[in-house]
Amino acid sequence: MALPRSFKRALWVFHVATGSCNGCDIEIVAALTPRYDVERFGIMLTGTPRHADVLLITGPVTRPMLPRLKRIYEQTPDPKAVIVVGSCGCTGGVFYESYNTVGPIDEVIPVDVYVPGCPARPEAIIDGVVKAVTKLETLEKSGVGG
Amino acid sequence: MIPETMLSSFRDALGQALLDDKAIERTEGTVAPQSVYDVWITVERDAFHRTIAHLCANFEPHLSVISGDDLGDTLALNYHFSVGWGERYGEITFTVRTSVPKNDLRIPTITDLLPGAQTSEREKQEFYGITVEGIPDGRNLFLPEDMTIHPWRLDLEDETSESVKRLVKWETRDE
Repeated sequence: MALPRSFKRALWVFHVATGSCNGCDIEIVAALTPRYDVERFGIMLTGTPRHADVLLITGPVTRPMLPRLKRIYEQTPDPKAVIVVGSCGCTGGVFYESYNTVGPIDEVIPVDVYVPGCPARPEAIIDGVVKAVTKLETLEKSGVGG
Repeated sequence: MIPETMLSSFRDALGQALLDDKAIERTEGTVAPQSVYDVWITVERDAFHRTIAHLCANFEPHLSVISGDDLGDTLALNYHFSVGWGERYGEITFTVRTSVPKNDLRIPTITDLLPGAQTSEREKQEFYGITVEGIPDGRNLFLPEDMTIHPWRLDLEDETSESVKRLVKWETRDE
């Protein structure tokens, strides 16, 4: 997989679980461990949204997570990209028509990249993050948050 | 995977036993819009095993999980599958829903087609009190073997909460 030539820095990712079953979260961890090893591309998880370039969001957004998700989105500095991992976040998936969810995620915050799958495979997650790089570079060129 | 291909295949295979089907489309993006799909079909219980066999023979499904809905007189079971892995935006969620009456809680096993379904089937047995016919290993997975109630059933509410209280008391007896 070739990253764009203009990719000039590490990409810091913040992982938000908004009520997923942990299936997608395990796949995200699989992408970080030596088998897929995304750190070789300079992609790493960070502990706070204030340092993040990308939000990696899983789950169908339960009601208690709604204000928190909005707050995390607002805390992330521009330019930023939002990736949704898994069917629940993309369409509602397993939790479609549930009384206690307010998702899918694009009904709460703007989403740039969707990674469907139940759970999404690590290859698909890496592909999604690389797409987000392109998005971030476009935003930087246009001067958002610069 | 185009949902219409799947749905027409199931309509041909099941006929009258297919009670309802729908494909929910969500379009993403503004510059180059892409669609992802959620497909739901509802089948009769008698045709349930045949439906899963048809799915396995033609679409290489991955069973995500089995979920249930207590609807009062009936228990609806949702078998969530992921179909069409390997092509970009090709993966769709495919759910087979079937209703089981409360006075006859039986469903055939699908472990003969998908052996990995056993874990989720065992969970449905203990939490809903349904009998999965032909399951190779029907022991409880999460709850104690001597637990007689089924925590996810809404019609047993008082009994369930009492039993859960007893269980918590027993588990925290040494603290």
